[in-house]
Amino acid sequence: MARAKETDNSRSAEYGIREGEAAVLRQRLAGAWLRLPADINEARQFQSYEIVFTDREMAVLDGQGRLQRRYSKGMIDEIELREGIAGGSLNLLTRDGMREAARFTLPHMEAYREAMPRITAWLDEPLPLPGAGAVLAAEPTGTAAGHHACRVCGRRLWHRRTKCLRCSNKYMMVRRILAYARPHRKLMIASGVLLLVSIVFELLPTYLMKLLIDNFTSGGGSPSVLMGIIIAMASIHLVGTGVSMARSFIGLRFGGKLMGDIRKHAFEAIMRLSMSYFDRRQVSQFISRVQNDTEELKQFLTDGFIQFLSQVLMAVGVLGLLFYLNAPLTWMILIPVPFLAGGFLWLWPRIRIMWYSQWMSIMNVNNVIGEALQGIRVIKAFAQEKREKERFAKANDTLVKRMISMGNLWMSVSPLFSLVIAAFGLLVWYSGGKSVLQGGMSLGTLTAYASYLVMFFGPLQYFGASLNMINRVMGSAERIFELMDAASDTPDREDAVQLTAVRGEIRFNGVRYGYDKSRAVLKDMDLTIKPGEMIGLVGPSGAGKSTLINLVCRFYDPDGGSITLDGIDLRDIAQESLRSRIGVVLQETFLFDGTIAQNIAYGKKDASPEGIIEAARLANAHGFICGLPEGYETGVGERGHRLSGGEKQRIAIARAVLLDPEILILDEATASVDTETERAIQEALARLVRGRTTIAIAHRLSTLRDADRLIVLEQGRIVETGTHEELYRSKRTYYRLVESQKQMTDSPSEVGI
Amino acid sequence: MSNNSNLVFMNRIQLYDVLLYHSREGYLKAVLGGEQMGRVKLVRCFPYSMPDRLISIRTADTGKELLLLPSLDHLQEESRSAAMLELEREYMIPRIERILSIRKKGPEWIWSVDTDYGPSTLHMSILHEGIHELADGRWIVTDDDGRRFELSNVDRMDKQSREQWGKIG
Ligand SMILES: Nc1ncnc2c1ncn2[C@@H]1O[C@H](COP(=O)(O)OP(=O)(O)OP(=O)(O)O)[C@@H](O)[C@H]1O
Ligand SMILES: [Mg+2]
Repeated sequence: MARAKETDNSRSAEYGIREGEAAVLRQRLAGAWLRLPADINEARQFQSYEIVFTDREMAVLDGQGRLQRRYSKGMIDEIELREGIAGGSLNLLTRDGMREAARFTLPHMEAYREAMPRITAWLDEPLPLPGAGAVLAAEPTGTAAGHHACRVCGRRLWHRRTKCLRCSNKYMMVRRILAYARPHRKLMIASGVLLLVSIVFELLPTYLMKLLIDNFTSGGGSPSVLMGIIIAMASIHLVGTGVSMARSFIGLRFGGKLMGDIRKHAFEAIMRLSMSYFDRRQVSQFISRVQNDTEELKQFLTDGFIQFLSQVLMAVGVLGLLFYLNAPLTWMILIPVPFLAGGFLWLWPRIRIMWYSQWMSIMNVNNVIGEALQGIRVIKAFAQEKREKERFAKANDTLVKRMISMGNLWMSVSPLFSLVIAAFGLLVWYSGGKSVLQGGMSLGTLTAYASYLVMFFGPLQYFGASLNMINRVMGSAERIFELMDAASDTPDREDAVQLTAVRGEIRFNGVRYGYDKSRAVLKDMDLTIKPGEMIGLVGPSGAGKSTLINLVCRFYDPDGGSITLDGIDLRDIAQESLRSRIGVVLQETFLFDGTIAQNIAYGKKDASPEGIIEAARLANAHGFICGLPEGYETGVGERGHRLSGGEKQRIAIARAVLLDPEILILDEATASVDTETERAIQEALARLVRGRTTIAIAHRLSTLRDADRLIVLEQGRIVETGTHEELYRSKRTYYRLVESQKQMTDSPSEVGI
Repeated sequence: MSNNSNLVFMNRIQLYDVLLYHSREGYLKAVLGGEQMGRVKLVRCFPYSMPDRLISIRTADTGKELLLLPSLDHLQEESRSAAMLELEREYMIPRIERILSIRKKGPEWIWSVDTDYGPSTLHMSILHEGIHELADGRWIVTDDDGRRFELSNVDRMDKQSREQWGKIG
């Protein structure tokens, strides 16, 4: 397990070592300034151990704290962190060649990365004089993964879990579900009272029936008693109907509101999550989550929960009556109850897993549909409809299979319940009948007893069926709460700063970032962008240009180092406030369903029509918009008019322009327009960027000729900075890029570039 | 094909003129066509389905491809073992060989597995986010700690593994 080790180093050394040695070791390790956990041993097997740095040596301790190996600092020439796929190793270069000191899986990587500068510094430091006991790096003894706090209750957590077990157990979950009912508790209480009334009313007729039969069979029956009982029964039915109608109305109202609340919460939870959450997930699943899982919860709250309660009450009530009517017989019929309970316990985990896998199959089917729809153009272009159909059929078949096996389990169990119940019914008739014959019991009592018995087994059977329901609801609740509890990777601090005036100085201090933690995309990035400066970012595809601006927008947080805006760490700035100061034109533009005007005004709802037109004019979009029959009211987006790539980009530019931001970010903003239009946009941009901090990315290098400074990125590092002339003259990467573009445009065969 | 000598010829694998070895510092270096290429790295083009084939030999600093090796069998014995050692150092995704159990405990899924890195226990709080299908019958399983495991060819594992996987897969 990759759990972080406690740093109690005084005790850990005592196992298996003689007292004297232990004392020496203890003393030596007491000065440890760094401890790093590792989990793969030399034989390439999982084993947790630790490497410990003291001021004069590096030691390897096994899981029990026993010393395995040690390397004195003098022996080590160099220490290298090797980052492999899904793990890494710490290698020592000694006089005898390379030694692998530790090997570990991915979760530990960050701790090693962070420790490396300190380790290198330690190695460069001269050895302390014997006995001097110089303490290097006074930092607290480091552990790798820090502990996290439970997002729900704030307790300390193991692992990288976000919630503690306490907060994710069933009872807690039910409590959280019920919390949604709290605002509507008047309705809920009313519903509960009505429920009690209706249960009493359900139990009464059978008892009256007993009185009726006894009235006939006792010989001395009177018509007036008969009349009385009949009238009583009639009114019970009447009131019962009224009550159940009232309950339905309340339920409907209550359910509708609840569903709305939960759905709203779920959607808000999704909006709160950071980009990295969506990077790794297929988005189609969220639609079904917001819709189906909330529906499931609502069902539980409106019907399921109430019904469950009513069945419990019913069972208790009936049991009381059974004891009242005939106690000895009742003890007898309770015999199968433990067996039924055992059956439930056996079924429970099986059903739970089956529901889950069924749900996964449903999600899978949804994902196939979602992906096929998103990629419909490609599917058609490559004529792969058949293949997609097959893919769907496969997912669909799995789902059908799962549903059938779920049904099978159910079908094979529920008749058994019925059988048991029938058997005990017969038993009651036999032993009850005998006592009627012997005169110990009235016929009315026996009849009532038998009907109550059926009523008693009814709820029991219901509990069986509700196993299904409860499991389904638990699954849904788990998934909804999982969404709500998912930690945003870029959370806002409570005391986050609201930006007021922004000068626009952006500073990168040793920034390191990788989408996947095993591969750094940006490495040790140091960069200062002065207020009002226009920076051109160039570099080969995949160099990390878009990543850099993603970090400026704080779509992601750096793994190491920091980014500041006017000296404030981005992590301390309220995100909304930060983004309202940044106008971005992203590489992939997205238009929402709505008119062109609405799309331009997306970041600024209160924009005037004149303002919108002005922005469009600046972005050189006014012309083509006026050419559309419906002008600025042309519907675009999913359902509307399809714009060309260049047109979309110009709308996106207008969107950024309208915001009038202090910081402007353009990622390939003019990539899909012709040179003519580009020139026009460029003039517009030149006007626009004046006085604003601008970061522009372009592959067409001519676009960046106005930039104050060009920054050349290669493999996540800044390799060159300077003006166009400086870089061109130095004849390195930038020069090569420019030259190769020149060749492309010069060659007459390359039409259209 | 009845000709014996012909068969021998067919079986002999043509060796590439490339030498791989580890330097004293532990770096993998290559000599290609007699020319010293310096430090190199190996990249598996298909790390899961063809771990020993289609290996790209690249320079360590610029990542330029020097050679695409169709298979490790095209190397001389020493180079081959150096390459194997290097690949083993670079790729650290344990392969699940047996699934002893998959249980759900509270909100958490717990897998007990045997891997080529020895036995291990995986804790996963969100199962469906931890299992990614790479291709037909090939999955990457990520546990809550972020460790990755490869899971493939479950249908060729023992009965217990298949049963356990069948519960969820
Ligand atoms: N969301 C993501 N998840 C994982 N990896 C990513 C993601 N986005 C980009 N990458 C990887 O990060 C690296 C840098 O990507 P980036 O988008 O910053 O490149 P770029 O310089 O903008 O390239 P281009 O000029 O082609 O737009 C690439 O290797 C890419 O594979
Ligand atoms: Mg990009």
